[in-house]
Amino acid sequence: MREQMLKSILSDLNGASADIEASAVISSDGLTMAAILPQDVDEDRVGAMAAAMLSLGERTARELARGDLEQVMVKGEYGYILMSHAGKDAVLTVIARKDSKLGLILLDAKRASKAISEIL
Amino acid sequence: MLHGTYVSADDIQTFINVADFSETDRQHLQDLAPVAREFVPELTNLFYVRLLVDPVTSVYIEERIEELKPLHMDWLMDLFSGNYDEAFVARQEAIGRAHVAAHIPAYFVAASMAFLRSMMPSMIEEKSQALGRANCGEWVGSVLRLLDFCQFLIDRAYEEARMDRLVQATGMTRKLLENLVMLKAKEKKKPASDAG
Repeated sequence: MREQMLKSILSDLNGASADIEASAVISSDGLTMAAILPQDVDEDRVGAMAAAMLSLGERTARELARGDLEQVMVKGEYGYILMSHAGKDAVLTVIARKDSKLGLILLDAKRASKAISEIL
Repeated sequence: MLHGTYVSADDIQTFINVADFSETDRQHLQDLAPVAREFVPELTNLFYVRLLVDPVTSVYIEERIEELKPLHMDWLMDLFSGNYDEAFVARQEAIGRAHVAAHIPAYFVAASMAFLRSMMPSMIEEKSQALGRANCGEWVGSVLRLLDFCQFLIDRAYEEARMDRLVQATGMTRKLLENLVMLKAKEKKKPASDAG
């Protein structure tokens, strides 16, 4: 039931922008709680990597006196990976295309994170 | 043998199966206790002489030798108790934790075990003969198996300490770190046809 609700939020998020290729809700241990990913993407890999990045981001923000972490963004040759907290124990990960309109995606991701945290 | 705090019962059972540590070994070790009482003090003295000779290891022990020797003798005699239960496993792990807390490098443990493994067979042989006991060759195997088991348990304390430091340094949970490690393991296990 909860997974279905999370999937519904992810589905809305992915549908909000053609630039979003995939999204997932991941526990802080790196386990996937819900995901809408392309078939060739390994769920476990996305989960572990996103949770690791968010943990390191948190630690870095704290060590460098940047306060509480809001998000982590990774830009690669073929696009972006955005990670943000969705409640205390979950991470929302969004995988977006190169040349995405980041402002809109960040706004949609923020809304989705809030909705996810309310479910969890 | 049962499980302690770090090592799962399954891991211990696998160790026992592969090392072929049997009830006979347990009995051999227990039977060797009177022989051990004869050589343990001498072995302990030689061990500490060895540690004192090396400039790196001597730093860790030179002012504590009289305090450490009885502890080492107790540990050696414990090997011949014939009782290798959860408490025994926990004692080895506690020794590992004490070594970690004292910042003793892991290779000291391996080197120390190597020294003990090299010295024990001839000492067992010699003291057995002196006590009128024969056929100790087979029994030596039991001692060596148990020493390896102890090293395995002590080494685990180093692994755990390393994981704890990683958790603190990265902010990741242990579970997440294990998941990341397993990802790499999964990748290695992939059949060649799946690669690339």
